[in-house]
Amino acid sequence: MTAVALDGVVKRYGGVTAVDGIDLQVGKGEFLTLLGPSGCGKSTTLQMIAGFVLPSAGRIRIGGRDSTRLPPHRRNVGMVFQNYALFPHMTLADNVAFGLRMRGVAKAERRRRAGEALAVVQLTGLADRYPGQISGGQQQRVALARALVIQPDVLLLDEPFGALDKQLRDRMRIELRDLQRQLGISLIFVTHDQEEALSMSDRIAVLSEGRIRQLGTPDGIYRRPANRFVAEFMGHSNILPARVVEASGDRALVRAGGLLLAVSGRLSAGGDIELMIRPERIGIGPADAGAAIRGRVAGMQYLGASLHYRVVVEGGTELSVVTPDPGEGRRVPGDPVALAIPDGAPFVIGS
Amino acid sequence: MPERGFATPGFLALALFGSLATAFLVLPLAILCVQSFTAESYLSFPPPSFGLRWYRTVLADPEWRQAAQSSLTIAAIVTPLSLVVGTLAALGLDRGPMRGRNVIYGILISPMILPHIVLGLGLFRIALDLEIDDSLWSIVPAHLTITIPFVVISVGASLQSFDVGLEKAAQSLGANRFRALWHITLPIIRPGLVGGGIFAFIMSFDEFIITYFLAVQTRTLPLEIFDSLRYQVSPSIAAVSALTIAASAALTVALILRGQVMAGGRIVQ
Amino acid sequence: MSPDRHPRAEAPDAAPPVRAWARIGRLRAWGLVLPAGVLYAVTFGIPLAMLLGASFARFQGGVTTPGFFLDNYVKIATDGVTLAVFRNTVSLSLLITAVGLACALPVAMLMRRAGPGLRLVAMFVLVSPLLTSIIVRNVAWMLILGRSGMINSWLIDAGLISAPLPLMYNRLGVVIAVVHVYLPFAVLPIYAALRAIDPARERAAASLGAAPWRVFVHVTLPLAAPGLIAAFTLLFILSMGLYLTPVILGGNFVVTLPMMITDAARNQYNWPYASAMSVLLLASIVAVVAVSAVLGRLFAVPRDA
Repeated sequence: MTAVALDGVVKRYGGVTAVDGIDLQVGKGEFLTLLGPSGCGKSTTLQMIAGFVLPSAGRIRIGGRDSTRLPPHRRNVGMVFQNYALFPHMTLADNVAFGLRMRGVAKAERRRRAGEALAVVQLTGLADRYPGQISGGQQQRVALARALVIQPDVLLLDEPFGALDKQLRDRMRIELRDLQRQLGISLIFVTHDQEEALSMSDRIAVLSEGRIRQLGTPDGIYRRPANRFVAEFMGHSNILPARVVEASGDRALVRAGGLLLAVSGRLSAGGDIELMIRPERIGIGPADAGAAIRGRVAGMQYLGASLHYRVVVEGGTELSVVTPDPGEGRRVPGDPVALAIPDGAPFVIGS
Repeated sequence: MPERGFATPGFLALALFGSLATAFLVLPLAILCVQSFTAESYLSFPPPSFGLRWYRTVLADPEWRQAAQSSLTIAAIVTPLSLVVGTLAALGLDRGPMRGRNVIYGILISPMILPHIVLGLGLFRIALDLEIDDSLWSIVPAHLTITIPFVVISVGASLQSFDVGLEKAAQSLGANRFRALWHITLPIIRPGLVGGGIFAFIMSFDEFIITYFLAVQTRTLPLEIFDSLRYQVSPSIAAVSALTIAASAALTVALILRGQVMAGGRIVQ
Repeated sequence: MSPDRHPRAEAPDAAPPVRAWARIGRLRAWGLVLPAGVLYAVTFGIPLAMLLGASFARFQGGVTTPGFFLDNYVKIATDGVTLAVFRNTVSLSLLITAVGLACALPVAMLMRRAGPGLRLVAMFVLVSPLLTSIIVRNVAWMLILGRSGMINSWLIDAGLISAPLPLMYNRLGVVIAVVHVYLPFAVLPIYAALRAIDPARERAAASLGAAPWRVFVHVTLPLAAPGLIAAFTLLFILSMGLYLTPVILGGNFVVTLPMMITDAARNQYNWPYASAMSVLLLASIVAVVAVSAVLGRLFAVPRDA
């Protein structure tokens, strides 16, 4: 069963195409994230699902109903806005009950269900406060309760954690994910923060220039990017141009600068490819004569839990390497080191 | 350099000037009010003896009562009408296309800088032709023309700081455009509506020159005061004036405090 | 900015049907301006057009002949009286504007330096006269400035003068009473401009060795220029249209163009001439607005990025 289906959705503003043909299906109970840099069309896509922006072409189905032309108030979607958009002149209880009021639910019933929704987001006891009197994190939860109480076909969240500080953001991530699982609600989450996307989603759609560049599980997208854009957008990576030296079956040997690496994938000898190696997959150790890859530390950045080295290997190629901080025995610039690239770490982009 | 000390000579000079300016603005009205309580049959300051004599005279005088009643009636019709028409216009400007917005805004507030004498003259002409001079049918539209700019400015300013996202949130929760406007936008921009309404009321209540052209039988309070000034300034005029000053002062307090109440109370966002 | 309020949405192009819909939706918002538009058309669009038309009519022996005659404008230019009154109105307006600005600038500066409490008091003091009837304020000044008014009776009782000073029924009385009415209109734009100035800029000038008065002349005033120009324009325009205060506090000794217009229309029934003088008044106001718009652009402070 699908909660939301987008079929060839396009949005043009004048001569500018903001969304350029998006096909997407969000399953019942699925947590799907639209991820991309600003201007990639993710917010516009969300606005089209909510009904605030009419698509220039394509269809949108919500809860099995063609909703392409439906005004926002006739779609059963819950939306959490970037700045929460709580009604400043209403108590939290009235804020949460607003959607029920618009649906003609009787007053006593409204009050009861709003109370329940506030309890779900752990705000019991604050029902008679006003939005201006509570913290940012609490406002966030009210916005969530307000969108949930109408039992929407899909919950839409537009960069909801943008205004929170780092610690609160981390906690809200866990709470939102737990809540979504517990209620079994379908959810579309928009963010530009890849860490947020990786930590919460069932599936991620990476967008750029109005198109989906890759759609898949967090693990799949991080480890097996379909193209260079996705590889670079999803965290640090070493991206090396390489040439296939030898190929047999789905194994191949490729040369990237001074490195000779084994990779999997059906490649043809002599072809040019791009190789991605995540920095945390590379091991670093003391230089010894028998090591396969030797290099010299060019720079080191201390990041608290981890160390970020830049290592220049034989042949002049520079590699980023991230390791947990050993406490002692850190390398300093100039140190000779040996690198270990385990089998399976190099990934041929697009394979 | 606002944060510099308070005891600098420059600041003391400014403070002195400020006190003088305050005295200049407030004292004449205060003196008028004090004189209105005279028990004598002439005005002087300070009055030799005090009493409510002239208030009793004025409140019992059918002419003054009639004039006050006409002024209040006109203002009571003009205020809600200008609120409706002005708020609609401000909403239209806020929601309409960017292009042309400034031109339309300029036209909407132009009666503020147009000399009212010219408006009065022109309206008199058209009212004579339509045979609606000396009637509410000409006086009310004339007053609306000068009160609507205040509503457009006041409500427009409120709308500018209004977050349209709130209306969207209401729509996503099932409110159509009208209900979103009614339940969300209008309550939140209420300070602008109240301010615009107060200004509209006072501008209508105080209007002189256009009404002077249009009215023959109709006597509004400013017309009545103007006519009675032809002979001499009698204590009864002072009493009438003091009454209107008291009313305006009450409205001013309301106007300034509403901002504070809203900001200091629950709406802190 | 949310996507559907994007300015690009107005860019012309071969609009797909849906976009055309959106555009109609936004144009429809202007429908809300319609009631005001219709009202304005009736209450000042049409009257002003009729006024302009009437100014070219001929008025002879109490009979008005419509048509295109320049009689009235010729009369304005040649009868000597009208032009003198016009000049008098302009010079009175300039005087009021100058006095008003001179009083408003220090008040605005004080408000800028004041704390929030004092500022609230200042706002109250400024706004409350704005909400008090003009005619009532004129009455108040009559009681103070008149022949047997407060000042003269005090001075006579104190034996300082023997005959009342002429404080009223001349320009002095008119200027005092008008500045009393218009001061808030001058203070508010100047205060708004001053408040927008980042005090760090003035401190920077002081740290570079500028004495306070030079900081004021070289930094504060130029940055506040748009507010000063706005205040000047507003005061001048309002002063040009003065009727009530010159009548009450000027007696028949201070004659303004609006007083002549009223007289021509109400006492002589000479519509064409009253209309022509109104056109002259409007034209001079439009000219001032145009000049101030140009000045405003010249002195505009380039916005920070």
